[in-house]
Amino acid sequence: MSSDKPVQHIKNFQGKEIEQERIIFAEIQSSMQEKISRLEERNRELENKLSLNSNDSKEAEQTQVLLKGLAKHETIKAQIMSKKYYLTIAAMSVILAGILVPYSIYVTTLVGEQYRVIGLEPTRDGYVIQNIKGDTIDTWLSWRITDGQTLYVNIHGAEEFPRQTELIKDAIFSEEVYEIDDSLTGKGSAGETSLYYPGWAGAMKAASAEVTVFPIPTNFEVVESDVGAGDITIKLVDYASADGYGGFTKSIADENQNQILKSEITVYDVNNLTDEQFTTIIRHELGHAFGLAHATAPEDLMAPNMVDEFPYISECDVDAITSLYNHGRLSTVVCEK
Amino acid sequence: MKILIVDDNNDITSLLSNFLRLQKFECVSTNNGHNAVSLIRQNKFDLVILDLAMPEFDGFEVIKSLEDHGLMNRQRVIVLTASTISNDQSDQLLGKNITVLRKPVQLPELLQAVH
Repeated sequence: MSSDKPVQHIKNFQGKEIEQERIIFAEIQSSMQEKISRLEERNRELENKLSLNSNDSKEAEQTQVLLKGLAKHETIKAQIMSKKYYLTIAAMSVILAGILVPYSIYVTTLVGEQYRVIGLEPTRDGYVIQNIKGDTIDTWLSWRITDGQTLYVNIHGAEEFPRQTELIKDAIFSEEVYEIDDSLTGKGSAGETSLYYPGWAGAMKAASAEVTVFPIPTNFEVVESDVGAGDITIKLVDYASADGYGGFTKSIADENQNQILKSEITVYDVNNLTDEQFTTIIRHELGHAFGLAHATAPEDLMAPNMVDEFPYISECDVDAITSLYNHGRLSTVVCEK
Repeated sequence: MKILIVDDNNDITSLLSNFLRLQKFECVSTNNGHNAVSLIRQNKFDLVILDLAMPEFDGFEVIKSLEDHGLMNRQRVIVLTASTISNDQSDQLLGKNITVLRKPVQLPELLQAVH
């Protein structure tokens, strides 16, 4: 009986110990479970975060890929534009060179070359001054008009020669001025130029820049009539001159006043003249009609043989007009240049 | 070809639009799944490039909505996603004739899929 109690006690004690261990173990287990749960949760959070970061990282990577692609495209585009730019510059340079080189050649080719008339045949003309009685006289002459008075130029044969009529009008009314290098006209060296006038209106305006004793005619009117008689009459005929003249001018003068009363110009063999020849003859004869005699310089428009390659009214013709109308008493055209 | 780009990432919609426009495609973009469905209902697109992971109304829901409205067959769909999708989900999408591209997709691959 007394030996059972210690055993029971021991059994009780062991049971309690075990219970205690069990309690502690359960506690530990519970605590570990809790920890595991927390860790699992933390792991899930981290996995989520990693996943999100991974997504963000992938999104960021995708953005980068797109940016690189666009940048590459822009670089290629810039290279193409740069090439195009340089090609454009090169093309523009070629075009400019294509324009500038001929232009510079044109410019360095002497000034006025374009006014050269090729193939003019030497043409003689006749010029006579008669007094009222019909006697041939040799004197200086000029028109005596009032300032601004119109000189009438009557054309006989205008209907038969319409093209030539227009050429006459050009030779009268043109106010153009040509600048021509002196080396082309034989008057001087290259680089120096002189002025020339294809029409008498332009030349007379230049001449009247200086005030003269007698007004220089600057106003003209052309009348196309076979029966009229203007201050200057131009007759166009289709037969050749027996004397071989291309043109002939007869001026009727008051020799006491040295005044031209009328001038009559005849141009012969009109149908066989080129436009350049015809125009040269008209310019020359009109010079006589205004009072000029022949020029001393063989290359001048007013030279006896009209063979100049630049058959235009020269500066010395203009100076001669100015002198003549300023009571200069000299009708011969003397060219210093 | 008229393309609708659907992605909640503004940078991607903007860059992708620019890139595709340079390739001479006409592009419209939206950051929102709901808007995407509305746009598809009102316009004729040849192709929709769709991101799957979008807040509120994601790519899967867009696809479901298009199916419900009978709009899936009007255009091709390319899904462009950074998310990990399951094999099942991938098979489902492939079964619907949807091309799946994973971000970051390289541009030649993207262009090949677009063409």
